[in-house]
Amino acid sequence: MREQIARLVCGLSLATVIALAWLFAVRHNPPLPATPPPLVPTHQAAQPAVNASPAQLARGQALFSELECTTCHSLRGQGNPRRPLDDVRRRRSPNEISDWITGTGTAASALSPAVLTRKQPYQALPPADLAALVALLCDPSPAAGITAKP
Amino acid sequence: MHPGDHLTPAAPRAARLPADPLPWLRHTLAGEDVALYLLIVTLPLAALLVGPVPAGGGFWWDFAMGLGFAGLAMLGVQFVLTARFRRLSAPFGIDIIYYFHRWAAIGAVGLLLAHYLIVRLAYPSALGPANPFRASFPMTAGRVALLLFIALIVTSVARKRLALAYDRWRRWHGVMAVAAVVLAIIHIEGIGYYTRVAWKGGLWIGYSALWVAVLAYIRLVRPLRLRRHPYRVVSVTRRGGSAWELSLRPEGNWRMPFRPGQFAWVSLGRSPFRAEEHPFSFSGSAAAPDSLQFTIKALGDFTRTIGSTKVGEVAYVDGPYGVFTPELYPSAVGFVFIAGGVGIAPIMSILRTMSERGEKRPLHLVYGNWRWDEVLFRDELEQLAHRLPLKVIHVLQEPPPGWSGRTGFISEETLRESLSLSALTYHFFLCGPRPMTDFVTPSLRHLGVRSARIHFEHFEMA
Repeated sequence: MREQIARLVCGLSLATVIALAWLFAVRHNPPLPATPPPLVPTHQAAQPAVNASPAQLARGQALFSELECTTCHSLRGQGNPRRPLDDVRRRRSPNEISDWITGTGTAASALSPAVLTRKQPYQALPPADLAALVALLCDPSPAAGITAKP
Repeated sequence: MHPGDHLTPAAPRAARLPADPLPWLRHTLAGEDVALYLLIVTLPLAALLVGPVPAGGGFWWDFAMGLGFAGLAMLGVQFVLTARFRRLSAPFGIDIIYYFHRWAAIGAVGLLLAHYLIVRLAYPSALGPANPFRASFPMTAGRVALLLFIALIVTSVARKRLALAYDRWRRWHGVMAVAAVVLAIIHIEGIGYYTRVAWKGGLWIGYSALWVAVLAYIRLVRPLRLRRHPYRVVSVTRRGGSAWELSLRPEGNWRMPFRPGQFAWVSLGRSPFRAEEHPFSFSGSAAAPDSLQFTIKALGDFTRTIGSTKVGEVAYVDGPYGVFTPELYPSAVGFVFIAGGVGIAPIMSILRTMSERGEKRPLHLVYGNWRWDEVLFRDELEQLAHRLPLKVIHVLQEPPPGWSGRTGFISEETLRESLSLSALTYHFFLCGPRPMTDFVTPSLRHLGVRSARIHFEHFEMA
C-alpha cells in the first residue's frame, strides 16, 4: 500500500513538472499579434546592397555550416531557433552584419564577453569569405536549406 | 535530525519511546512532506516562468529546454530524500523513500533524455560538434552529465547482474551523482539563456549550493556525530544456518531506544566516514536497549565477513529507522507474522519485546525456511510460544524424514489452513526475501485481508 502511494506521488510530480515545462514553452512563445508591428529600419538597411552571384551564395552557405553558425543561429529553418537570422537584412546594414559576425565595431559593445570570444576566430576570415557570408544573410530569396555539418 | 537526538541517558530500565501520535497526525505529516516535496521540485521551475523572460525559439525548442530544467529539479531534490533525515522518513518508513527515489530518478532521467532527443531530432544542427575538443564546454558538460545519469540508473538497477560490490557501488553512486548535477548546472549556467535574466541564475545556483550543503551534511557532519557515540561488539553468536547474532553495547552513558521491528545502519570496525554501513533490523527486545542485537545472515559481500568480527571491535549505529512495528497499530486485535529465513530478525525483536511486556493479544507466526537445521531461533521460539499467546507454524521446503508439518512455499492454501477466520482481521507483518513477500501479499488479499493491514519492509534497495 505504501508502494502504491509512492508510485502515485512519483507520477504526480512527473506530471506536474511536465506541465510546468509545457507552460514554460507557452510563456516563451506567446501567440503572434494579428498584424506584425512595422519594422523600423536602423538606417539604410532596407536595400539589398550587394548583388550576390550564385557562386558567392553557395560559398556563403558552405561557410555557414562549416563554421558551425547553426549552433547559435538558424537560417531558413535549420539550426538553433533561438536567434534566427532570416530577417537580419531588414534590421542591419551589410557593414553592421559584418561587424556582428566578427564581434567588432558596432557589435563589440552589444555582445557579451562570452559571445565575443566565440566570434573572435571569425576575425581571421579572408575578406572574400566574410563577404560571402554577408551576401548570404542579405539574400532575400528563400534559397535551398543550409545543411548542417555532420 | 541527527543520531544524538535519539539517544537518551541510561536508566535502569530505559524509557520507552513516546506512544505513536494518532494515525491522522502521521498522515498529516506525510501529507505535509509530500506537499513540501512538490513545492521544492516546482519552485525553481516556477521561477523561470515569472518575471521577464527572454524571446522564445518556438514551442518545441522551449519545451525541450523546460524538460531539461524539470528533470534537473527532480534530481536535485533526491539528495534530500536519500539523506536519511529522520523527520522526513518517519511518516513513511525510509525503505519506501528509497523505493520512491528509484522511480523518481528514472522518471527524471527520462525527462533529460526527452530534452536531448527533441533537440537531436528537430534541431540537430543546434547541438554543435560532439567532439569535446571542439564543442563549447557547457555543451560537453551537458553531454557528460546525461551519460553519468544514465550510468547511475544502469549501475543501480542492474547492480547485482553486473556483479558490483555494494560498498563500492554506494561510494561511486554518490560521486557520480554529485558530478552529474554539478556538470548539469555548468551546462545551464554556461549556456545561461534563461538564467541570465534577473535573479533566476542566482536561484539555480542557490539550489545547487543547497544540494551540496546537504551532501556535506551526510558525508561529513553526520559521520562526525556518529563517531562521538561508538559501540563495542560484546558477542558474535552463531544462530543456526549461516546466521549470526551480533550484540553491541554503547561505549558511554546513552541508549538508543527503538520500536520493535525497526532497523539501523551499522558499520563495523571502520570509520563512519567511509560510508560502509549496512541496514540491519534490531533483533533484541526493545524493552531493554542496554545492548543492541542484530541477526545477520551471510548473504552478500559484507555479511559474509560477519562471522569473523572480533569481540571488542568498534561499531557505529545510525538509527532507529522504519515503520515496521506493531506499536504503530495500538488498536490491532491480534498479529500475524510471516517470515522467511533471516526475515525473522525484526519479528524476534517484536516477539521478545512482547514477551517482556506481557502481550495478551493473539499472535501467529508462519515461518518459512529451506531445512529444519537452518531454522533460526528454533528453541527460543518454542519458549516464546509458552510465554505468549503465540502459535508457531513452521513451513519447510525440504523437510526431514518424518516431518508432519507444512511443506513447500508459504502458499495461499497454507495460510488458509493455518489461520482462523478471526485472524483475517489481525495486522500482518511480512519480512523475508522479495519473492516471498511478492507472493504472499496477493494471497492474503485473496483471503480477505485488507491492504491497510498488510505491512512489510523492503530490504533490497539496490
